[in-house]
Amino acid sequence: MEAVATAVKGRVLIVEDQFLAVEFLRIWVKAYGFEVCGVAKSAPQAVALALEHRPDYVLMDVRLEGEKDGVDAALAIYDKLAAIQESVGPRIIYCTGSSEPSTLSRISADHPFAVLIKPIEPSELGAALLAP
Amino acid sequence: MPEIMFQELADNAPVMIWRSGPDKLCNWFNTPWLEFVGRTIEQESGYGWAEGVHPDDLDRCVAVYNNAFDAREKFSMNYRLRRHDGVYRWLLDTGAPYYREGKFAGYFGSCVDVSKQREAHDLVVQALAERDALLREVYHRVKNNLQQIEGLIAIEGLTLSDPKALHALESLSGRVRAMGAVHQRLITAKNLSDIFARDFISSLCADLARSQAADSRGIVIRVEAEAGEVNIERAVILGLLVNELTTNALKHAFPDGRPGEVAVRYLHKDAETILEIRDNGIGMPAELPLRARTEHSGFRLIEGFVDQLDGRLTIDRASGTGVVVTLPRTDRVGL
Repeated sequence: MEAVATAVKGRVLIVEDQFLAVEFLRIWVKAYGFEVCGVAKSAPQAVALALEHRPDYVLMDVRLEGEKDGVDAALAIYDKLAAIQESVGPRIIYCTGSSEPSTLSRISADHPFAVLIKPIEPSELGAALLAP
Repeated sequence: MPEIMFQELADNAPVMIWRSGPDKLCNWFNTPWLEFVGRTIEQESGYGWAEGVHPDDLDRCVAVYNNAFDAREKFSMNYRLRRHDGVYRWLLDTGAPYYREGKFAGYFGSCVDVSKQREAHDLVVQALAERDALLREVYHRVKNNLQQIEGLIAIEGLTLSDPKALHALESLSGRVRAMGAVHQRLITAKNLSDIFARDFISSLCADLARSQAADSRGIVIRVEAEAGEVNIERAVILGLLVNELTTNALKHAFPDGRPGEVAVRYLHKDAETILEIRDNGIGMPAELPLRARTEHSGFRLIEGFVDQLDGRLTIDRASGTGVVVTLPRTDRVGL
């Protein structure tokens, strides 16, 4: 344990259905000075947790449990926020295992803040989180 | 309808039509048939039509026809028939008995050229076979890569002397091996995405028994598992769970040369699947959680995997230690 408490740089919602992938992200998110405010396994859960916790960042896996994918979840989060006249939404950082053009074009349709291709390089995750 | 209209219908309908009498012999063919084969009705009559059937299809074709005919049943079959230009085309021939004034009068049949569909079908079959071969190759490589990772871990261990560090590497190696066991099974799996639960869990436990020298310690691992199949994604997690829990039992339940038994069960019960690892070892004091007997990372893994599978974890301390993981059942449609 660190004796000196440092200010949390931001709050992060992890959307990912594989436990080991969640743990990997959790460890590095913390290492870069951010707090994990929730973990969602499915798109509906991601939307619910995003509205509940209002994270600064969402680490969004594309392939998720259930019918909806991460892009659906991101769009739904912004729709719901717009519906309650919320102008600032979380920065969406996509984490995808697929660099296929079809997946990437789907992601780019949703104005992602950053796209990370798995296996995720911690320094790239850090750069995305720490970007101005 | 005047007879000329029947004739018009028979000769202009875009299907090839034949007719046979009660003696099985063909006695009429419409114009599309005769134009297709480029022969006269006299040449085709009786069993003349069979001369145009591809030699490889002839026996089957005649057998299907004769058997259906004797039973007065409808039939439907594919065979190749030689066209007027010498090219064999695949036909779908459907025949049915017909009756005149209640009395069996023979068969009518109609054929359509299905060569294009057949070619497309063959291409799909070939592509699927190639995909399967490729996937098996990929599984093989994944398995080899996992074995190489075990090698890397072993080499790393050569430079370490701290027992805690060595123990961590040993645990890591066991987890990698459990993942490799899934891919080993997938290489020979029928549909390349599901493996047999019983075979998989048995071989995994046999590996664990070897690596923990269970035999020489007088410890038996008994496996009781469903014969059915389990999907790759779930199999990897199940394998890791069995690995953690069984390794724990082998390491901690039988100290000081104590012999015993570890029962590993994977059984369906109604809408749930139960994974149970039960030992008859020294047991754990009631106030201690499972965590106490598990290295920290191991317990975190167990909790995480159970959660990923939407399951729940219970500990039974009646005798020895039983860890029961209850999972939603996934092998039945609708669940």
